[in-house]
Amino acid sequence: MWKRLPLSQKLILPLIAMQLAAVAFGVIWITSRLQASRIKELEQMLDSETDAIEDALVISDERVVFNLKSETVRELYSNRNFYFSLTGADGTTLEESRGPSLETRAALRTLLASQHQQDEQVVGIDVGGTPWRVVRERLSLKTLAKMTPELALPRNAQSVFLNVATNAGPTMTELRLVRRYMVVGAVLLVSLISFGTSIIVSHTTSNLRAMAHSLRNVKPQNPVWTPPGRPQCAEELLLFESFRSMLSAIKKSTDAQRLFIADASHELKTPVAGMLTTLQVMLAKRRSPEEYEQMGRDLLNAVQGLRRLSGTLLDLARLENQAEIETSILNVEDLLATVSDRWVPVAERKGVVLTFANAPGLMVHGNRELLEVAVGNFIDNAIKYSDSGDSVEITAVASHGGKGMILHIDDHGVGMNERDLSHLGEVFFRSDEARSDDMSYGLGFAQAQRIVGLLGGHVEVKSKLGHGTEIIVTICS
Amino acid sequence: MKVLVVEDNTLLGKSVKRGLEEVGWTVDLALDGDEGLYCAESCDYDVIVLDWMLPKRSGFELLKELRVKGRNTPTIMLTAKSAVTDRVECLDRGADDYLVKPFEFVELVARLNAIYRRSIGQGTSTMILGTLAFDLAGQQVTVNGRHLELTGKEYDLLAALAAKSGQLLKRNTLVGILYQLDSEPESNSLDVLLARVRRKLAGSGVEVATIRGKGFVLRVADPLPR
Repeated sequence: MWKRLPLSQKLILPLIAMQLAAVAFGVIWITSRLQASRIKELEQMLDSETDAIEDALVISDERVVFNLKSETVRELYSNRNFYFSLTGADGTTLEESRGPSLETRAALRTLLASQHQQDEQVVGIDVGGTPWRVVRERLSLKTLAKMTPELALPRNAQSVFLNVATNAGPTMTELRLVRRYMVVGAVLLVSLISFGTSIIVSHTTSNLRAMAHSLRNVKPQNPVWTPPGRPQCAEELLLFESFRSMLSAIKKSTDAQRLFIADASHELKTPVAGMLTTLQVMLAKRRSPEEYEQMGRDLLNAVQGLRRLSGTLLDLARLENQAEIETSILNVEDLLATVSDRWVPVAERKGVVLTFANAPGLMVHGNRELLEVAVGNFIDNAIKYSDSGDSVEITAVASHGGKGMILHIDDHGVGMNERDLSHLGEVFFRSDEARSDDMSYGLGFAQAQRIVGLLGGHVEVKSKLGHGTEIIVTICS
Repeated sequence: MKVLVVEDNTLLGKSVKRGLEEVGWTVDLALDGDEGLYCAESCDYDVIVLDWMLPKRSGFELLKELRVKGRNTPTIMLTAKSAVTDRVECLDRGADDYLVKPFEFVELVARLNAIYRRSIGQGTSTMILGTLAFDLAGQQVTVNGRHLELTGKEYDLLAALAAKSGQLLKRNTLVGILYQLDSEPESNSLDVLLARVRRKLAGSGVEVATIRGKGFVLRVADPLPR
């Protein structure tokens, strides 16, 4: 599933997820910090207000009462969101401020009576759905005595608690509002960033998409690709160039194949046309046995030529598709002896002298059958382009410190000009048409060159028109 | 009728030559482009059968050279290429017709006949000249519907004269049409042939007149003698 997602989504989804996580963490952290600081502030306020109230305690008529002379305390005394009271050890309320409503005060009284809290510890209580912060302080009699040393200890001062409570509701409401704003802001921020990211990412990947679509239109018959636009980044440039070079390689190969097929079809169709016409002419009327024999012989020659051509073409096709071939260590002397047995009679018929020479004990790494074909093809050409009385020298020497072999096939025949040299190796190319009979198809050199290439070697050709040709085959294992 | 075959495949060339000769044509065979051009320039052929891919000079190069030199000999191209573009190229580049290898020999003969017929301005394979009716495809002649017995060479001579009836044909031109380029006919063989043809035409109202020192001309006598 993940693997099938478009690259843009693969980039956008994690990016958005990370942004969401970061923003959510930020919102939670900021609001919690804000809440903590606001509550601390509230408690500090509560502390200082408690101190102020404590200072305003006086003993009157043997009772601890609030002195409302201080403006601060007076204001607090009637503040709706503020409450303070004096309670006895048994929990009965002795004095209380008049700010909050009767209901709230009643609820606070009940809650404070049931509250068992430590001295001077601020706690939160819930008063009819509204949060309040409360602090309780035991007033020691000694402290009171210090305040009014001239007075006798009040009756109600056996054990008196000062309770101070402040309504945390407004602060909490404010905090809730801030949190809401922050969440809305965060959502907007994430949306904006996601939108921007999507645009950037899809723009970045759009070229890739367009490229993929345009590549679909590339036909194997005509592997030409028009890029959808200019590359937008280094990777795209690399991809563009890789595709271009791949397609140009394919084009080169298909062009070569097309040329090969055109040539092959000509080379195959012509002898077939010859045979067909010969047979049709032959059967058009009654003939003498001699005529039949002559025409039959012509046909036989043509069929044999076709057999050779098709065999060589198939061999060549096999070579093209062969990635690796079996090789072994070969004795060059043995190899040349076999080649000599095969080709000396052919040369003799034309009056060409073949001479073989090799370094004693020379070995080479290769495939015997293929090497015989390759060397044979070079020699065949040398004979073909030599005249009666000419000689062809085949010499094998060691190279690469005994690991390889260099084979020279030198003829003193007609040679080739620059143009012919450049075409050498092309399938169906024949240098001198006058010398190539119907039995030669211009495949020998191409085939031999491919064989040597497969064996890890290379072929070098030096030729001079009118002076002969020198073929240098280097094979190194 | 005289035809030049330019084909590098010896078997095909040889068989086309043999086959055409057996249906009564005079055939010269050239094995490469240069030889083909030499032949085509040194002799008036009625038709040329030209291979596309030839050693030394391609069929098209040969054709171009010929056309540049003003020789409009009807040409039928032989090609192994069968794509429409190739066939169109054949016709566009000056060929009058083409045949894709391998072809049926009878089709080649029929196309050669047709192309020759067109070149002498005949719509059908029957050419009427006075009382003579030529069947160009079958290479037969009738006089008033009666079959005229002619040898191959006699027919060629009569057909060559008839194709340009009323026009002067030089002795050399006729020798060129009747004999292969490399053959050496005896000096009086044309006269012997003419004499035989004249004898066979006697009473038909068509005569071969000799213009002394210039050549020969085929004339149709007035169909209603006074």
